[in-house]
Amino acid sequence: MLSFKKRKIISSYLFILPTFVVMGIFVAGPLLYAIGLSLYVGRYGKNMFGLGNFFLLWQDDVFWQTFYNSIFYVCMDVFSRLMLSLSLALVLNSALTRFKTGFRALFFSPVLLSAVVAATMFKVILNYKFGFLNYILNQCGISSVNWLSDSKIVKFSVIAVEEWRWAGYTMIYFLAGLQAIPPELYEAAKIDGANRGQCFWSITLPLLRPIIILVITLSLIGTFKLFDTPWLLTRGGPGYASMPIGIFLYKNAFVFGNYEYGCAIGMTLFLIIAVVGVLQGKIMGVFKQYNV
Amino acid sequence: MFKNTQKNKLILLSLYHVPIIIIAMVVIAPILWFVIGSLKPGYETFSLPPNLSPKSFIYTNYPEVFQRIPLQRYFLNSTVVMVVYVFLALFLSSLGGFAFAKYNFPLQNILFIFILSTMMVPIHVLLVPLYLLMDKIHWLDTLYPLMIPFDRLPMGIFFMRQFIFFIPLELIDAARIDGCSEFKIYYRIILPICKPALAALGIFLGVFSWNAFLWPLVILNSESNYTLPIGIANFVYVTEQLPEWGLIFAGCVLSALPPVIIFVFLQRYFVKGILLGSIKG
Repeated sequence: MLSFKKRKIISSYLFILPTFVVMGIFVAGPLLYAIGLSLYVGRYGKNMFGLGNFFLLWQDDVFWQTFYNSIFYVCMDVFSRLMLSLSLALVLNSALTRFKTGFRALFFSPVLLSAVVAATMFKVILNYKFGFLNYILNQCGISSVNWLSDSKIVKFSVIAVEEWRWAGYTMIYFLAGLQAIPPELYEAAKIDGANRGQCFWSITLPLLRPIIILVITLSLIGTFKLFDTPWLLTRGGPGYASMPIGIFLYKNAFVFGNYEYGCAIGMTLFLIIAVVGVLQGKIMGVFKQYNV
Repeated sequence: MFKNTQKNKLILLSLYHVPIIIIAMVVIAPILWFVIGSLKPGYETFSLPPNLSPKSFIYTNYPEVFQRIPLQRYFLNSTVVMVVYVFLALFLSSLGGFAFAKYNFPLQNILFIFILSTMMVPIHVLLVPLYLLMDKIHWLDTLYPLMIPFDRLPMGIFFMRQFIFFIPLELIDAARIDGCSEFKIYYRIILPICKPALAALGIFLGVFSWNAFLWPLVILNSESNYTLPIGIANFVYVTEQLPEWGLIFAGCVLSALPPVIIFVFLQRYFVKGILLGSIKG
């Protein structure tokens, strides 16, 4: 019979063993393999390993276009998501609003749809000649807009679809945060003569700070990984106008078959996300408050 | 004056709701559009002004889409993948969460940080090596890689650990005194208590798995193995120039039904789940 303590320790290792096997085979191992592959330049010359793929990447204009696109997407998404989901949550939390549960379910429903369904819907609606949106604009006297084929506008269309899909999700986070604020705080403030605006800036926002940081982190890191919506709407087009780094990686690795280059792109993306994540964490004091 | 104030209040309240209703319409308009679009013949999809009278609705798109693409096959594939994925994820998350929450063992903190840090790795980095690995073990173009929850397991363990942390140690010790093996403690005590957390996590992962796109896109090749999102995306790609959007919309509506149905019946657990996860930070 094993001693009690030994039995507990062996059991705990056994409990986490399957997880580590899965993560080892599907994440840790492939990560190392990807690092190795990204450094493999045997395809081009005699040297087996070197930084050749990364040099190629540095000189690739298409990469820089996709890099710019990704940064653009991230900035737009973080900003819009914060504005939209916070506003929706404030509205749904207000005492004035009726049918709260109904509206909440409504605003949340796009989250349940797959990217394919959402993109297919918007492909039809945003169509230049036959789309419903341009039809309404025409009825109001505004001329049709080329939502998906104009390289200056297509990125906004992608962001709009993404916000339509996900604003309801982060709205729930804010709702939870708003409902956790004790109403006594507002009562006390009102007794002291605070108006609505002061209540918002001095009570609501500071207490929502952890959730604001969480939402910014989620959107920041999540939008760098953007793939589904632009792929399904325009395949990254027109040209490379709507192509984020994710699609660039997919095209190079799986359409052109250049696995090593794809890994180099992946490593670069990883680096970008890590740097941005750490920067954002430092700026917002995430690391000060985090307790494992 | 009294009547006026009452009426005024009502008018103001209605005015206040107008922007909300407009936003609600913006959110629901695309969904309504394609549900209605699925009930129209293909040549009417793009006709403007849109003909919304129920008299012009047809229902033949739904049976016909099953003949054009192997939609039942896609449903079957997606369901199998989702069930196995959620089961594995819940099982491993709860086991792992239990171990990290209620046990003390050497290297515990380092191992936990290791698991958390894998969350930082974007899946794009792993696409190529995983593709090559799956090829080597002949799992390419099968459903097996889609069933492994490697992308959400760290989050699941983190979530379950938070939840299990608050289970009183006395319960576990009492079971030990009664002679329970460690696994029995997990099975008989921890699991039943975790039901709400498991339900919330399960719904979240189920919807996520049902709608997953990039990973199946990389792994699957033959049409008979496609999951729903890939199958429909393929159908759209092949037929979008033809006036057959009614069929496409019918396929979309059908594929969107299961998550909606699951959610409608279980939404209390889902919202509870997000609250559980986020407030305790």
